[in-house]
Parts: sequence; structure tokens; C-alpha cells
Amino acid sequence: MKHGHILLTGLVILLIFTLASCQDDSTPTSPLPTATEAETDTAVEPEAEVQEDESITVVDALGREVTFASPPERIIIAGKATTMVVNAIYLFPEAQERLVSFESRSQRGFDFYPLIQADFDQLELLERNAGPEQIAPLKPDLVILKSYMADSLGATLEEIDIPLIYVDLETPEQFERDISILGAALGNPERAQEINAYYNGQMEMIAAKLENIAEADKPEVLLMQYSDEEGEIAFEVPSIDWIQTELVTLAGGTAVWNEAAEAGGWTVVGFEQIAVWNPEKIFVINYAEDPTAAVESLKQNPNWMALDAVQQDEIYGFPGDFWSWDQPDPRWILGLTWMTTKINSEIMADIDVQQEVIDFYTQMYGLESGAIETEIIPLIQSGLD
Amino acid sequence: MRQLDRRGYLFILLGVTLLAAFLASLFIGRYPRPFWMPLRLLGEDALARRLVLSLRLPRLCLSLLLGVTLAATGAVMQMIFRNPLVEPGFLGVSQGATFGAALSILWIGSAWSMHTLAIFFAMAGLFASYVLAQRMRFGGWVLRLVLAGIVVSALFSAGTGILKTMADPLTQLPEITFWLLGGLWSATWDDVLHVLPFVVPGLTLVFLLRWRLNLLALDDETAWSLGAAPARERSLLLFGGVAATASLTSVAGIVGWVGLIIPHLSRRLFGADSRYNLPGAMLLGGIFTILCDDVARSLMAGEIPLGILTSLLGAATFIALMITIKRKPGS
Amino acid sequence: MNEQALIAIDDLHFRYNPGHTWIFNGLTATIAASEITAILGPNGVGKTTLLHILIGLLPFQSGSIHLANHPLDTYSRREMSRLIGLVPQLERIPFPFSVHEYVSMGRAPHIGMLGTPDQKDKHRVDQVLEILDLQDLRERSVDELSGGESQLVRIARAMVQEPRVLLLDEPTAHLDLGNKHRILEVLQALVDDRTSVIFTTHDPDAAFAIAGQALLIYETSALAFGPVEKVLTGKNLSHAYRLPVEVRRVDGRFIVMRKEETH
Repeated sequence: MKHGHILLTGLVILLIFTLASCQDDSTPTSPLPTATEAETDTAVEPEAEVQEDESITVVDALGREVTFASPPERIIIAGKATTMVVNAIYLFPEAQERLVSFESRSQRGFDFYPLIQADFDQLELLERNAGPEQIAPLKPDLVILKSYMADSLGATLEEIDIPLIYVDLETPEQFERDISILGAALGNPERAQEINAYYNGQMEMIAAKLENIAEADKPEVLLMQYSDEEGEIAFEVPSIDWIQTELVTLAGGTAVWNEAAEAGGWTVVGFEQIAVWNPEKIFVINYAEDPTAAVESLKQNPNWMALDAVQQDEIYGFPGDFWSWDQPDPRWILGLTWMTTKINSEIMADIDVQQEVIDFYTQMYGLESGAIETEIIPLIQSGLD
Repeated sequence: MRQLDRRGYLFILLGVTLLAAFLASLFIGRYPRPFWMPLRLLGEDALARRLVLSLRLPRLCLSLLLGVTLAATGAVMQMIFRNPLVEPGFLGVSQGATFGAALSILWIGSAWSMHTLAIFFAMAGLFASYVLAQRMRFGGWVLRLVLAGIVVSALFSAGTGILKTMADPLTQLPEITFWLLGGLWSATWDDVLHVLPFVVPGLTLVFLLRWRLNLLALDDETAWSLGAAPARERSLLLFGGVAATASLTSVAGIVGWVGLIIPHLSRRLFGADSRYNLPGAMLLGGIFTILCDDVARSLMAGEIPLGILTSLLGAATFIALMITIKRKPGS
Repeated sequence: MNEQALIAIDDLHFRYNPGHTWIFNGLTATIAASEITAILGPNGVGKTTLLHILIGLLPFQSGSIHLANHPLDTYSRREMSRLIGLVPQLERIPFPFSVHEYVSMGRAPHIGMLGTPDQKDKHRVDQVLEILDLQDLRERSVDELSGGESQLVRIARAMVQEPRVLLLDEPTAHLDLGNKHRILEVLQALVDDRTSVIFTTHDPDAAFAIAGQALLIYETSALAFGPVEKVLTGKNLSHAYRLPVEVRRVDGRFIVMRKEETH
């Protein structure tokens, strides 16, 4: 009987679900989140026992005021492009105890985290497209999202009263603001000031060195991504409002691709266009593997050999360690420093990039120089020369 | 008659199963641990209460409506086009909705605009197919509609392709891709309110015309001689079903195979008379989609796109159905 | 106009598209009620088209058609469907409806757009199936029927419509001798029951067998219409079919025979 089959199947499925409830029992037993949002007018009086000076108010990237009775202890970073936010939050030592989980799409660069946090493997990571169903069991008292997730994931997390903070971290200006936001949320604004001081210090140092160079003398620079998918080689330039473009300008170069790039994403450009630009310096990014190989193959290419940059040996692979240094990741400051030494080598002659790297990891992530030398320096792709 | 009793029994069984699936699914998810939430948690845990009432309940309502609508519209289309291989996204509806959603994701970014643009372009796809079919000069009405549908779908598909190349690969492209695969993970009560004005009238219309649909599956002359205005009535049914489908697509993304498979299954169980197999499809569709969505949010620590599950299970069911085709007596 | 005329066609002009050739260019004929009328003509002359015009499916360019003394276009769809039923020659039925389900569709004019069949409809269907001796096929799927059975089932579907006029398109065309006569008996029984029957055929024998009236179409107009033996004469038939034939009376019945060559 057909109807018998349906009933049986339905019961079996429901049975499987019921039986499968003997799953892990690592559910945390921490109390419910107690944060409120000032703008929704549901002010919650902090518990009488909690000290007044422990309560924090944070104004996030979307201008929302979020108040916590005490600094959040179970933080989750969710949504897209979590890696860069994770790398930013690890600039704060508190993150090691308080970051409970984040959504991970790929494992690339994950060798970095054990250097900061020995028990990183214990973290229960979320899988791609984690939503409120998957986040709620981890009982977070703060979820950090990028601001463009406000209408989607943010809206649903708000439905179940999970406190949210939005950040951007896409440009140097946003970086400075959002580091302060993270510092406020972690109850350590002093550390935020330290971090911003380091970044500003670097940027001011570079700006000072570049101050006497006239606009017209700024070298023409092409910064492009080389991608090789199944034999299809493409060159793409970044969007004009992305950090990559801003880094070139900050490094004292003139970005040649301003007209070509649409405000969307990576724009494919053909070799002919590159030949027309004929830039003085070319930087080649490759997210898939060491850009050195790409640079070598371009140097052998008869078309490319006709370009000024190749003839002058001014074509470089963009360095990176666990992640390439061109992205909106805390390492952008390293990318900026390095690129400036290539664009204006005489002025930057006194800068030792390797030392800068060591300083960065020491001051920003609290690593020991010994560990840096053994674990990180060897990883740097395309070399620092 | 014996036949009727069997069908009546089947309806009751399916109805009860649907109700049971709906209620049980309120307790299925990832909180506090994978799959089953103990009942008593509702009384103790405020987060659990909010999760069930503000997220799971609207999500279940939407998967119910989605399954019912896709199955009903699929059944309608299969009768109207006299072809058991068509499904609701046909006639440029799916591709139009995708195009509208991609436009919204790229340039406006609000959930409200995504709903509106998806519905608008889905209906535009239907309208364009209809008008194009009217203008064609050869072939019967059904053939013309099919061809027009293919052309319009291809145009929208190309448009979406262009939009995808313009999308930010980090932020926008994954969103478009996820939407293309379908998912209810961001469902809220607002979404339910948005779809009801389209779904309720559409489904009501289709349900009321469930017997009339039989006539529309016959040749035009016969239908006409029985007092039907075939072109007009078919268009009315299409419009109602597609409007409901488009509004749900704008909320849930593209969820395929339900509209194709469930009407088949229902026809197997209830016979060719749409007076029975249409309501049957609605019940079956609701059960199927609710179960798929249960798996989508429970199985892994991340959401599995609903469209992937309906395709997997739908295709498996299709194979099972095809293999067990009844041998006709005397053939 | 004859008060007894069921259908009065006056100077009918029809073509499918401008630029197409005229199918009918001044067709005039009257069809009486409570009779069996046969419509004959060579293949392709437009017999099926005429039936489609009569049920209002094809709009015609000029002339007039009156059905029971009212112009055709004054009838609503519902009224039309209660007056006239159509049994097409062949039908493509895309889903395996049972005979009973298929015949029930004929009740549509009495059910309306939003309804479903009730007990009364079901009763009528069972009645008609019995009359046509089809009750054993009730649960069979329509795609499993033989040619003769299909034709009868189609007629059953039209009969439950309870129309005043039944139009049939080549009802005996693909049938063997036995089935052919069975159909003709059914049609005769319908007329005895006060339903008018109009059927097209290319076979004069079928017309002679049961028809009282005939309409012979030649090229784009009516060659003759009226009592069957007056219309289907050797002269008319030879002219219409471009074949020398003669009509002989044998044992009180008419048969058509090829004329022998006279040297």
C-alpha cells in the first residue's frame, strides 16, 4: 500500500531526528546575555551586584549604541570575511579567552592562530552560512558582524536578542575607528590606543618621507591580481574604493588603473591595456600561491618583456605570510611599508622590512622574536628583497 | 465507492502527517544541541522561547507555504502545458526572480528591495513569455509558450551573469550564490507578512479551480465545447500560481524540484483527476519541504542551502518513481 | 427562415487569416431540429472547420448564423455549452484519466467554474455509461482503450453534457464494421431521445444509413442541403468528389457505386 510507505518513511525520519538527540553534551552553561541597545528604549537595570564601572557602552560602525553590563566573555564573529575581523580582534590579548567561535570558510592561514593561542584547536568553529540556529547553541553574549550583514544575519540575530556590534575594517580610516570599537567592547581601550598609535606612527613616518615628492614625480604603479584557473590566466585590477588602491596612493605611487576599475570588484584587464599604461612599477598579487612563480613566468613572457617595468626589473610579487599583505587584514600596514620601499627605494633605504615584520608581530600580536623568526619569516612569499 | 474511501483515508493521513511534521519541527534545530530540543526548555530558557517563536515558527510557516505553493503551481503547470516535465520556475519566472534579486543585492542591498524586485522581474518574465508567445507565428499555443519561456529565461540568465561579474566577490557574490541555491535561514515574521498577500489569493484560486483544471488539460476544442475559455482560464491559473511562487522565491531563493516531483508523486497516489491530486500535492509538498528545511538547519554547524536538499531528495525520489513504474495490464 | 430550423447559416464567409484563402465564401444552409444531419464533402473542404464555427470557437468574417432563432454571438459560453456538445475525431489526453473521470468532465457546463461534481453529476455519468454499455470500463484508463471504445467514451462525455445538439466529427472514420454500426445505433437512439445530431463524414454510406438530412459542401459553399436522398444524388456526388458515381436503391436502401465506364 502506497500510503503505508509514506507513513513509514515519515515516521522513520522523525525517529532518526529524535534518536539523534543523543549528541554531544558540550553545551555551555553560562548565563543568558544581558546586553541592551540604547536606541530600542528597553533599558535594563544592571544587576545590583554588578559594579557600575564594569558597564560599557560601545558605538559601532553603524552608529548603534550597545551597552553591556560587563565586558562580553563569549564573542563570536560571524557572517562573511570573518578571517580579517578575527585577525583584528587577536590584536587584543583578551581575545584569547573571549573569542569562542567564528565562521570559517576555508582553513587557509589557520597555522597562524596556534602561535597566538595554544589551545586554538579546542575552538568549535562554525561552518559556512552559519545562521541563528547554529550560532545560538554557543550562547554568545556578543556577535560581531560586518556592517553589510545588518539586514540579513543581523536582523535575525536581533530577533533572538543576541547583542551585535558591526564593524567594517575595510580602509585605514575604518580600521582606526573599528579598532577603538573592538577595544571598547573588550574593555581595553588603552590597548586600542596603542594599536592605533603604532599604525598611525607608521603612516606618519611614511608620509613624512614622501612629503617632498611632487605629484607629477610619483611613479606610475600597477597593482594587479594574477589568477590562473585551469590554465586560464587573468589579470585583474582592484576596485577603486578598495584598500589595495588606497595603499598604492599612500605608498607614494599613482594608480594607473583608475579609469578601468569599476566600483564592483576585481576587473579583468587584457595585456593590451597594460601595455598602454606601461607603468613604471608592477606589483603582482596571487592569493592561490606564491606570486614569485607568476612573476617569473611573466618575466619570461615575450610580450611582457617589452614593458618598461619588466625591463627595469621593477616587477615584484606582493609578499604575504599566512595571508597576502594587500588585503583589509591588520597586515596591510606591512604591505604598505614594503610597497613604499619598492616605489621609493632611495627615500626608504633606511627601512629594514624584515625588522618591521618582527616589530609588527612583537607589538601587535605579542609574539616572541624567536618564534617570529622560525615560524613567520620563512613563510614570507616572494621574499623581501 | 472503494476508490473514494481509499483517497479520503489518504487525505486524512497526509493531513495528520503534515500537522505532526509541523509541530515536531518546532523542536528540531541546532539549539541547544543538534536536532532535538526538549519541550521543557520552552518554559525555562528565554533564548529558546525567542528562537522558536521568532525564528523557527515563521521559518516553518514559510517552508510550509513554499512546499504547498511550489507543488500546487507545478501541478497546475503540468496540466496546463499537458507535459509532466514542467515546473513552476518555467516561463522565465525563476530566472527573472534571480535577476531581480541580483540587481537588489548589487545596488540597493535592502531585504525589502530584494523581495520587490524579485517579484517584479518574475512576473515580468511571465508577462514577456506570454506576449512573445502571442507574437509568434507558428506552432500551437503550448509550443509557443514553451519556446518563449526558454528565450526569456536565457535572456534573464545572461543578465544575471553580467551582474555576477560586476559583483564584489567577497560580499555580494556569495550572497547571490546562496540565494540561487535557496534558503530560509534569514526568515522572519516580516517575510511571512510579505508573502501572504500573494500566496493566499493565489492558492485559493488554484484550489477552487482544482476540478476545472482537468478540462484545461484537454484539447482546446473540447474544452471550449464544454464552456471553458481555455486561453483565459489557463492564464488566470498561471498568473495566480506564479504570483504566489514569485513572492515566495523572493524570500526563499530558488528552490527547485519540488514543483516537478511532488505533482508526479501525487498523481501516482491519487490518480489523474486534479480534483484529488492537486490538494494531495499541496499536502505532500508541505511535508517534503518542511522535512528538507529541518535537515538544512540541523545537520551541520552551518546552513545547508535548501535548494540543494530539495534537489538531492527530489532527484532521488524521481529515480525511485521512474524505476517502479507500474506495468499496465495487457500491455 | 424555417421556424423549425435549429441552425440557420446565411451567406457565411470565413477564412483563418487575411491573406489566407477563403474557406467558406457564401455558405447557406439550414439544419432542422430533432434530426440526424450528415455533412459531407471532400477531404479538406472545411467540414471540421464548420463544426468549430458552429460552437463559436472560430469567429467568422461575414454572414450570419442563428442557433434556435438567436444569433450565435448572443449566447454566453455557458449557454452554448449547455446547447451544443462536440465529439472530436481524435483527442490527445495527456494524463491517464479513468473513463469515469474523463466522462465526468462533460458535466462542466452544469458545474460552473468553481465547482466540483456532486452526486447528481455522478449519477448522470453512471447512467450514460450504462446506456452505452461501458460500465465495465469505468475504472480503466483512457489510454488503454481501443479505437471503438475511445470513440464511445468521447460520445459518453458529450452525452452527459445533456446538449440539445450533438456535433460529431467523423465519428466512424477509424472504426471497424462492428464498431461503426454500434456508433450509428447510438446516434439513432439519441435522436429518438430528442437530441439533434449533426455529424461530418466523407462516407455517403454512413449518411444513407441513419441521416435524414444532408449538407453537401463543395469548394467554398453548399452544393445542396435538405433531405438526404435529394442531396446525395449521383450527379451531386460525382460533382463534389470528382468521380463518376451513381446511387442505386437496393432492398429499400441506398448505396453508392462507381459508375462503369461506358464506351
